[in-house]
Amino acid sequence: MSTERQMLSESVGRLLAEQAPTDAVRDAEGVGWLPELWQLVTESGLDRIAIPEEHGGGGGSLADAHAVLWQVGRNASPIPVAETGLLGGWALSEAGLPLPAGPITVVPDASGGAVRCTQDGDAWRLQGTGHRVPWASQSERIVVIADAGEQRIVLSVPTTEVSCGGELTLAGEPRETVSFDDVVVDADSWAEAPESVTHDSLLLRGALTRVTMMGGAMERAAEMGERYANERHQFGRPIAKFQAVQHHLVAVREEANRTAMAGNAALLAVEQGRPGSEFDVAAAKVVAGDSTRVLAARSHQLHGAIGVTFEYDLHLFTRRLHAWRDEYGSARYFAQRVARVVAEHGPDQLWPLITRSVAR
Amino acid sequence: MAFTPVQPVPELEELRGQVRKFLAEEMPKIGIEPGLGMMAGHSPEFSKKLAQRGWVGMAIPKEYGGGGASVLERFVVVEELLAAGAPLTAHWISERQTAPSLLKFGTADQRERFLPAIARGECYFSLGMSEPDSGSDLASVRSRAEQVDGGWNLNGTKVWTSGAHLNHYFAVLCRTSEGETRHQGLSQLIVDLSSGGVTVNPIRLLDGNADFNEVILEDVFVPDDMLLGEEGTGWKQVTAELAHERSAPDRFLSPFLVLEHFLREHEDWVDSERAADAVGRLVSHYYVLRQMSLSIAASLQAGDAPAVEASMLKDMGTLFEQELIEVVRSLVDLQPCRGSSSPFERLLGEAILTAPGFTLRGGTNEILRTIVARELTR
Repeated sequence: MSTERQMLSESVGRLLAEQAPTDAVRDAEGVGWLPELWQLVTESGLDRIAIPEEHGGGGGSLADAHAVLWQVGRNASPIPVAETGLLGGWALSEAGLPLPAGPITVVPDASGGAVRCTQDGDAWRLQGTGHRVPWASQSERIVVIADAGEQRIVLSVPTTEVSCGGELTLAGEPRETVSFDDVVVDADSWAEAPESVTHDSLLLRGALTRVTMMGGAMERAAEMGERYANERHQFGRPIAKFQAVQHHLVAVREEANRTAMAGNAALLAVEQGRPGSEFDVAAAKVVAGDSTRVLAARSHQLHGAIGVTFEYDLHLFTRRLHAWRDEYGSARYFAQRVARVVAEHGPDQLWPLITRSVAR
Repeated sequence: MAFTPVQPVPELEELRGQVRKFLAEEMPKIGIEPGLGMMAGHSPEFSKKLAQRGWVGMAIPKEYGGGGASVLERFVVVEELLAAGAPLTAHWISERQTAPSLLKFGTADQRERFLPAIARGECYFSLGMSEPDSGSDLASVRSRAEQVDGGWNLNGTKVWTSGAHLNHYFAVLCRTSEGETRHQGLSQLIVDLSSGGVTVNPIRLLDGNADFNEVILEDVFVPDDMLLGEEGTGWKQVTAELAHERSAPDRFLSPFLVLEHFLREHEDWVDSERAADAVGRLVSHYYVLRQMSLSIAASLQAGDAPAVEASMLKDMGTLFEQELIEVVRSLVDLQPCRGSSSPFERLLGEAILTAPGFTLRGGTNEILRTIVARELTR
């Protein structure tokens, strides 16, 4: 990581930790988010750091935005940073549509006729349902990437025009059901989707945000375990002195490193625009999901009963990991995708695929 | 604890292409079937051919006959050899472990004598660490050398000495004096395996092979100039050696060919959702483990000492190796036989029988975790 990005990451980390310590995150579960924290984050431009300046963003890189997201994971911050800048805002900006000042969210998957569009002069009428839309009620606009006949369009729908509500993730973050009941989207709020904006590119971008956030949350869980094992005494000594506990600590840190590497490697491939980078992202999401299983279970085991209480912080991270691992494509889904890439390459090219090198 | 991805380097990829071309041409000629990892096969002929291309002792400086190459260049060559199942066992230890040790601790004479021969692929070393009563607790070694006129008189027994019946030398960790702590007073002596008083007895392993040996040392005379490093600093030297070997691709590539040949011999695998899930996961993990190993190599190249990261990688990599074998096995309905004409079945069988060793050799995973945990809870 460049020194500048390191400094950005550290300052964001300080901001989130000071303004929204874990007690605040815990208390936010009733409301679903932290509006005051969001205010600070958006005033500092951290939510749209990778949006080009001409569209009202910070003009930073994808890696800068991911440095912020890492801290969102590390601090379990319940705010739509990924959705506003890297997903919904990204689609609007790519399509040349104006970005609202408030939070932006996106329908994660509006393919396959989930949201139907009918043309009405310059406008489109929307009918259908968006599922598991992050922080829909809290957002100002909901972005939909929709198929309209042969066309693919990006729509920016005011939240006031839809009805939303419903589910929370396992970590208590809103993922709402949004009903589009004959919503009219005028000419200034839709555009033809550029080549870069597809159902799949949204899915892959979303998957990468989750891997980065998971890396941050895992790092925090690992640190918590290491501190706890030193502080907690049983049989007259810190439990860190017991080999059985040491093995948990090592396994947890290994998985945290594994996911960090997966996310960093995929991010680099995407940022450099390397051909076939969907493989890197898919592999990263598979690995992050598999790591969660080990890391969450062993983190809880080493913390003992205190770790399963609401009062203790560990679950703020482990529950988010369990939620994020399945968003924008589960490990199961992406394993199938990786397999298809492997099959297309054939056995001779398995090793070149793994090493991301040219065919042999 | 940063794992930073390594940017692709065009020169490295060019080197990779050359190694692949060489392997495609030479592997069929050598008459040894592709094998598993560092124990794929002992072939002086292959080692010498590889050395002619400058790919043995690459990281040895040019003044000692090496290639003066970077850590990453060596990484690329090593991973390509391992992924192809090339018979690299003959030069493996001398190239990976002895050469860096000689460079760091050896005298000018020792470097002149051994390094060019190692780089030519002609001089092979074994390890001389473990003993019957000293496994994980290496500092308890009982081999002992006493100073005599012009050298040392060495007595003791070493075990698990792979290749001792084929190789030329081994660096023996032994007690040469009594220190205040048991880590003091240990030294490394370079012993010619053909010296008088050296008896090499094969230790058959459960797969029937006898690549490992017991080496009995009875009044073996070791000349003064074969003391490696200083008298009494052997412990520091062997731990430095170990840190170098733990993150390398041999710690996750041993059963790679089992997976590759599974794909070769089961063309319709992707039609099975279960097989696709399993292969998708294995390949994803391979990709990430390799990125981790590569990033540790880059960190070594930058002059850092990522000892903890390396120990973690060995733990992760070897556990993955064992997992891979069981996962692939669960996708097929067959009874692996020795000597099968199917490369997949042959390699699977070999992998099943050698897998227990993956998490033992080079420091058991339990010992590695103890090392890592100590750092994590400092």
